[in-house]
Amino acid sequence: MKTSSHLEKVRKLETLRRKLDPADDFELWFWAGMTAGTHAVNAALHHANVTRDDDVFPAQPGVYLVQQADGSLKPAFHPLGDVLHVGRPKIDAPVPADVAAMMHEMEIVEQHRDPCVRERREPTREIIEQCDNALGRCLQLLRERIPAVMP
Amino acid sequence: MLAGTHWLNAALHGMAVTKPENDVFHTYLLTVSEFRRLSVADESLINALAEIEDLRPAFVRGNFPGGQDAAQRALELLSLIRSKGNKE
Repeated sequence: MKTSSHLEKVRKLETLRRKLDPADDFELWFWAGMTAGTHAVNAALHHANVTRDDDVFPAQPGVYLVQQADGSLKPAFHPLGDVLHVGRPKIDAPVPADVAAMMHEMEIVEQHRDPCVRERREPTREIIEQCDNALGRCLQLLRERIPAVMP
Repeated sequence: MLAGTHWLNAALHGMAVTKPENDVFHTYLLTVSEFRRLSVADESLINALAEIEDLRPAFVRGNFPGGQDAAQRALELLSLIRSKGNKE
């Protein structure tokens, strides 16, 4: 997807996160943050010319929804564009240091996904702070790479 | 999607079709065989979650037009899943 579209997603998700209580609404707060960070990583990867920014939407690794002539979407094999999560799929090309740092921050967030959202681990204040700080660093790196991101 | 997945797991555990230690994470991560087995338990339940999951690429990862209609459809599907999972 185009970099500008990812940036718009980041803005919307950050707006949503500000309305949520990290403890009371942990699952939504976390998922919005994780999704925002993934969009940020995709924006940075496109900006760095590591991945393609075609307006196709990732369904599974290597499979994207592609708009057809009649306006409908159809799944098709497509070269690497957006990743679904950091590491899914793995990127084999060289990645600039700042983008690799963004991906590392998102790995910090993602490690809490299944235990705290799908399973029974209690999202402690420490976990919440760790996720918030990691996403914050990820988005700061995005702003440094693409200064027009957010006010 | 996450709420629907939890309701689906509650329903499947309640029907003794799956064990609590074997939660479904995504319908598309199930083997074909397991998808078919769970569909025997309740086809509409599995298909409802699958349909919610199918909305994600275009409207959550992507910016395809029609997000509001997609959200409404997701809520309808969630309501169906919830009705089957919330039987305590």
